[in-house]
Amino acid sequence: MTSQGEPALSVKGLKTHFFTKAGVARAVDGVSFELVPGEILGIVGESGSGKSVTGMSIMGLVDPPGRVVEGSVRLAGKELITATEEDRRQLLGNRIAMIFQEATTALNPVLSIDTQMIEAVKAHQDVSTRQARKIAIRALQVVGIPSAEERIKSYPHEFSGGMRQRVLIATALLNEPDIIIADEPTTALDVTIQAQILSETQKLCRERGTSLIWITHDLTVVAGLVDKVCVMYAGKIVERGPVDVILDRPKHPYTVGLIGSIPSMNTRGKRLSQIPGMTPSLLTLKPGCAFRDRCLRADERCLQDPPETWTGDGSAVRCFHPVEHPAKVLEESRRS
Amino acid sequence: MLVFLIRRLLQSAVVLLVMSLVVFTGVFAIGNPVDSLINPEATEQQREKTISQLGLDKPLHEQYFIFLQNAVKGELGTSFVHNRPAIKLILERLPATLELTISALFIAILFGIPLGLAAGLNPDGLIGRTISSGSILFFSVPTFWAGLMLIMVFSVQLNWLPTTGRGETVDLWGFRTSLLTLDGLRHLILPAVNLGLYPLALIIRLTASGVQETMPLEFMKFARAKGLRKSRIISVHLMKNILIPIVTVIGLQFSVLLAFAVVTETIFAWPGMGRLIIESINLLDRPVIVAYLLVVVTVFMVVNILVDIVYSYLDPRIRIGSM
Amino acid sequence: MEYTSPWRQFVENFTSRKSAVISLAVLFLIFVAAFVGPYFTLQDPYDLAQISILDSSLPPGSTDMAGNTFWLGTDDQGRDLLSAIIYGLRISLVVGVVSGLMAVVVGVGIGIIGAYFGGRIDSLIMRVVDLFLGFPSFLIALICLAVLGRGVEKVVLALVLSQWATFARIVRGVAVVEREKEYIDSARGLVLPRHRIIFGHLLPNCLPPLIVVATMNVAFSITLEASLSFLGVGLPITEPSLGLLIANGYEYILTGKYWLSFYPGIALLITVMSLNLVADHLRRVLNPRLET
Repeated sequence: MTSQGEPALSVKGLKTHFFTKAGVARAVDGVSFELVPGEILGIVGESGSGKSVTGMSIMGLVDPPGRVVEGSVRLAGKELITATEEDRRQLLGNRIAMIFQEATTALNPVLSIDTQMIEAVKAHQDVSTRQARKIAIRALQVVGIPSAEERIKSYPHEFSGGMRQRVLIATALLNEPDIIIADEPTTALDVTIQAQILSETQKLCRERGTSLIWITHDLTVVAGLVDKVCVMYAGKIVERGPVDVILDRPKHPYTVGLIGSIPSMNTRGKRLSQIPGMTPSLLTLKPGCAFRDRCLRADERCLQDPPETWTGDGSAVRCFHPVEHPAKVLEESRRS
Repeated sequence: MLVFLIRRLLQSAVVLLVMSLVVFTGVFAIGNPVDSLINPEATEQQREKTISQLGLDKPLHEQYFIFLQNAVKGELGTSFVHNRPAIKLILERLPATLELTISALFIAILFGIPLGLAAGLNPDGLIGRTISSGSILFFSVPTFWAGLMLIMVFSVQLNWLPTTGRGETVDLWGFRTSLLTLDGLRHLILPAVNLGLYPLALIIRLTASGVQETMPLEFMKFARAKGLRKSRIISVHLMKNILIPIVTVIGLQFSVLLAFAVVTETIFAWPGMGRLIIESINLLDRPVIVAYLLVVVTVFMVVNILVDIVYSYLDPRIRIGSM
Repeated sequence: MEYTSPWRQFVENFTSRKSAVISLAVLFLIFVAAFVGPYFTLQDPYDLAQISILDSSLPPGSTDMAGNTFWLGTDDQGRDLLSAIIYGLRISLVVGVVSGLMAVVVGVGIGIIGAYFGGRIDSLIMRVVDLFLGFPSFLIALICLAVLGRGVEKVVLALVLSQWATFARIVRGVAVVEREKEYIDSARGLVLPRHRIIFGHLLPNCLPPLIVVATMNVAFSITLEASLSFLGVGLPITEPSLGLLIANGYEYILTGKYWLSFYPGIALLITVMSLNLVADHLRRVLNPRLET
């Protein structure tokens, strides 16, 4: 682990916009957060909230019509946004790696697993193919693939969904990166395998002191896994802070709504609360708080952009009317 | 693999049999070769003697069975015109045609894939647009006219290359080839380019559209996320995926080129079987026509089997046993 | 949102590219030239009374003593090449379009028979279709003509025989997809007669691919006819299409009288290319999968 002083990753004012025929979609609109070495961060949001695009923007993998228009991404002090293609290539898969959402489409169907893993090693380490293969086999063993030495010769279609996902995780681990970004890597899998992969990945990162960003739409997933949470809505982080604070004392009405829609022991027999309305279209977004049309607490002030303000609990929230008693609010929304 | 080969060979044999019946009936049902073969001033007796010599007085099905019996023995009849076994005439000329066809395909692949890559990687740039329009031009230009224009420019105006024949040939494993002498190559260039224009256009278009379909796929992004060099992403991840449809089309194109070689061989006086078939059609030399067709069909089948084998190596999702 | 009719949307999409509009305009001009042109040409190139041997083999742009200008030159018999091209274009277009359309009718008809009856008839038809598709069209046409001999109706027949299978395959492909679709079932639920299903559902869905492939096929038919005529197995000398004009000029190419096969070839090339470009843009507009 490096010194606690310097963040492993610092994202400041990141803006990624998509320039489509129908207009400009501000998929990521001023996102900032920091990650210290060894820390695990959850980015939570509905689909279309910009959480995946945030991950892709950090990796520099946004394709046209999308483009990072503003902001800075610093990896151990090195700026990524303005880096040359070659400088960035040397960091990707090496110091910062990504686990993709769907292993079925992320692996090249016509190349064997060993080809796809060995090339990832050789892109960053000056080793022979034999050594690279050994590294790859070890990584597969670490993620729990049985008889890895044999199976590494297989093609992606010869693996099950869960095994393919493990291959992706093993690939991310190959060069022992400082940071791994995992973009909902478990949504395509069934629940038991999801839980398994989650806890295993968390364990691996803790052991190695690797920082992890876990992107998900499912707040329950992050609860037992992460140190910090960022809640995203319509391209902005509406609330961020330590996981316990966010879960126990959420301040943003949207976060409160998210937590309220999770079934739990306490809410047995009661109606689950729902957030009224729909996710706004990013193309027709007006200035001001994007959540105001769905918010019971909204007033004229919300026509302006709420600034990020720090609360006494150590979390930061973008809301003019932060919630003080989340339980009460939930009760109200259940009745209505 | 062996099962696959045996099954494919049996299938091919059935198709060949059906083909032979269709071709035989078709070619023999209409058109009377006797008129063009026998001196119009010949007496009735001479006429009948020739007809029975050629076996043309027997009913059609009997003629077919005689033909089949001989075909199994590898005899496809004697040319009415050349008075030699038809199959020999065809096989003598097959190497020249194959040489031309393969050279044309080689040129098309050699230039088509890089140009298609360039066009597919920058579809909106000047280079991409130029290549795409060029491919539509090559796609539309009639082979025979392009051949004439090549002769006009490179032989008549510039006087760089010869217009007709195969030039100097040497023996290679019992076949005569123009590929190994400078003079032979000089003779080969124009006909091969001529025949190669159409598959060139096709391969450019196919490669370009393959690139455009593959580039946005998730695994290409993942390859970038691994920090691979651009050269590796293109030459391995992209190429291996787009080669699959290209190989299929190259296989299909081989038969098209074999057919269109008739045109190119006529223009450049290339001594292949294409020229022979045009002469035979004009003289109604039935055995040669039938022999030509059966040889061509056999070549098609061999190529198809080869394509399937290559295909299964390129695409691990397809196992040859399951075909 | 404002409602735009599918037809209007189609026109708007098609005309959004400059090259689509240009190629369609060129195609239109070619048809006008071929069918109206013959009334305005310098001469009827096949009326011996109108041509003079004194004008033979003039290079392009020459003027004879009577003050006639031969913009594209004359052939060895003093025939004005521009007039010959316009007459030849008409023959090429008629043969190409007629055989292209007949191939569509025959192929679609046979495809529908297969889709309608299904079962054994369907699989027999598809075997035959596969057999035809296994051979290059050029070879099929060549063999047909080897059997039939030269002649306009024979060339048309050969072109139809060499191309119908493509259309049968398209109909069949669409039929398989449509059969699975729910609305066919719902149509069945209403006890619609089979012909209503075919003409109400199957044919409209075949239309987009048929239009694209038919356009390309007209272009290909024109090329095929020209190639066959050039080889001397296609049209007879009495029907001098562009292919025959080029074949005629072939003899003179070594003597430097380039115009005799150059200009008819250019006319052929422009025709085929504009058809292919139009087909390309039709594909772009009619197939939403290719453009998002």
